[in-house]
Amino acid sequence: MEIPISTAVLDCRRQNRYKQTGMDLQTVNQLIRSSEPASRLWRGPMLILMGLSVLLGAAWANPDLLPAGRTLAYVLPQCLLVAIVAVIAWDGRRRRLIGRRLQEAMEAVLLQDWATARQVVCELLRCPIRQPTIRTQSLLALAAVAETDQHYDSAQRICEYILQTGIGSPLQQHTAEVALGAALLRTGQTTDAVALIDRLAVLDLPGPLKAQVELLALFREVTMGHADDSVRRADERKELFRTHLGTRAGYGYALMAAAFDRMQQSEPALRFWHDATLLIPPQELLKRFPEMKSVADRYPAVEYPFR
Amino acid sequence: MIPDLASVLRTFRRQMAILRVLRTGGMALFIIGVAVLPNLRAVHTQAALAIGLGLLILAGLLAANSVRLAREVQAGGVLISIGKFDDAEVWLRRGLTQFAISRRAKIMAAQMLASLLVYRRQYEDTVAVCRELLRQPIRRIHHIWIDTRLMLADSLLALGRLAEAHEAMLPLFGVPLSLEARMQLLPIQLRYELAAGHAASAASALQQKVRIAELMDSPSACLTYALLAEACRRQNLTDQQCFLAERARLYHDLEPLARLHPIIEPIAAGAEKL
Repeated sequence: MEIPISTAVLDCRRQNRYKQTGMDLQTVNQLIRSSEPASRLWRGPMLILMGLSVLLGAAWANPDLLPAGRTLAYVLPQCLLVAIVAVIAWDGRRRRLIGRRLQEAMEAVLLQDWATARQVVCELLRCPIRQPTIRTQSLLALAAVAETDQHYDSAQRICEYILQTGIGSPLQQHTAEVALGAALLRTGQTTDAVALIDRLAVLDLPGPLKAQVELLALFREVTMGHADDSVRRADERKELFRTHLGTRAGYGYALMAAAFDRMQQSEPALRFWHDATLLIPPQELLKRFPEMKSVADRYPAVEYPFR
Repeated sequence: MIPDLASVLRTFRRQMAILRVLRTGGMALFIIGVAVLPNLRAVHTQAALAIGLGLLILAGLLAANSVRLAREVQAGGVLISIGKFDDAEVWLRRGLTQFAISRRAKIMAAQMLASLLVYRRQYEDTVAVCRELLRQPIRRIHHIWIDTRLMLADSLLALGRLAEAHEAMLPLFGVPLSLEARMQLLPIQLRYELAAGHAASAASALQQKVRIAELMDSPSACLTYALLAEACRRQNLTDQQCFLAERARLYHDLEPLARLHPIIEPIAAGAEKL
């Protein structure tokens, strides 16, 4: 099914900008705008349905409104009914299509197939998305793509937009906050990042959310040279990451290795780097955290028997 | 064991049959109504309006009832996710036995009851609920059909009924699966292959299987790696076995999982020695 394309995105497509320069700020702003739904009540299908229903109701209530011809007077209400059913079916089909595209995008993000993720997310955000959770999820996928393209300012813009407008579920809001913290650290807005992370750290969060916040706090400590804090809480954090982060615990272990290395404690640093590279290949760790280069040079990584 | 599960399932089956009849009858009435009412209106305008209005009110009431049932089922799902299984059972049982026009909400209630029973490790009951669900025409609700088959295969494996588990899983290999479904299927498939003595098949395409396992939550990833390590052990792929067993240990403690799935005991015992 063809989805209507906004002028802004036609521009974007014409210039093929996102393929050439990644998710830059201008592209992200265009996609945010083009995905905005129309005002609350008077949205496309709702408007059409209201119009058709009013016509049908009027035709039923007052037969004089119908044309004089017997055939036309008989056929017209049926046509209106069929049109109402068709609009409902079209809207349902469109929702299903958006759901499928979102699933495709999320799978591509999970599998780190960034080219597919970039393409699908852009296509998804080209048209207004009415369901706030689906739109927020698409925007979060866009933020992940922007982060991979190292357009941290774009990732920051997306997260700020989600938080300012308050769209999506509480879980999506929390994810946006954590992503914003990381983006602020990357863009050098340290004061804001510290304030945000400190605020998140004192919240009483369930385990999986707490683990995300602790990973972010560890990243802050390593980038800002507060390795002593990281070393002190190493065991507690290791258990939290192990229980709740799955394979992403590898990022936590790598940051832990960097913290121990800064404190010149080679033995735990070696152990953490071993565990980190057992879960995530060193190339991927360095791609995400280029500041790990010295650790990667100093300690041996695990060799994968099937890559 | 849920005491009156058989009677709950009987009520569910009866209501689903009634809903099928109502659906067909409703569709026929709608078509007849659309064809006849304009003519009737020409003669008896007020009667036609009253019938139209009555049907509209009835449809509204039935829809409201369905929404209420869907909300109850959703509440059941939330209660399962926070571990309040007894409360969830009350909501889901109500969802299964109360009459509502929405077949989808009733099917969802049955599917959630099955997942609740899996959490409680009541495998016989899970098999009963899943088999009842698969008797219904749920294939069009793709994700529920897949989830039901996965839960059925999982429970049958836990009960040691390998042939039936294979039969439950088989249709899944012929349909496109989402990444989430593939993540759920992989450990079940590996458990079946190892239990049935197909270690070579379990140890094939390791790289792809590892890629999928990397996306799982910690306990599932641990189990999957341990199963892959066991397959490699049986195939004498020592390097791969050591790597996978060590990875499994990083995700979760192996001993509690080995108590649930004795097939990974050799790997758990080996990891303990590390």
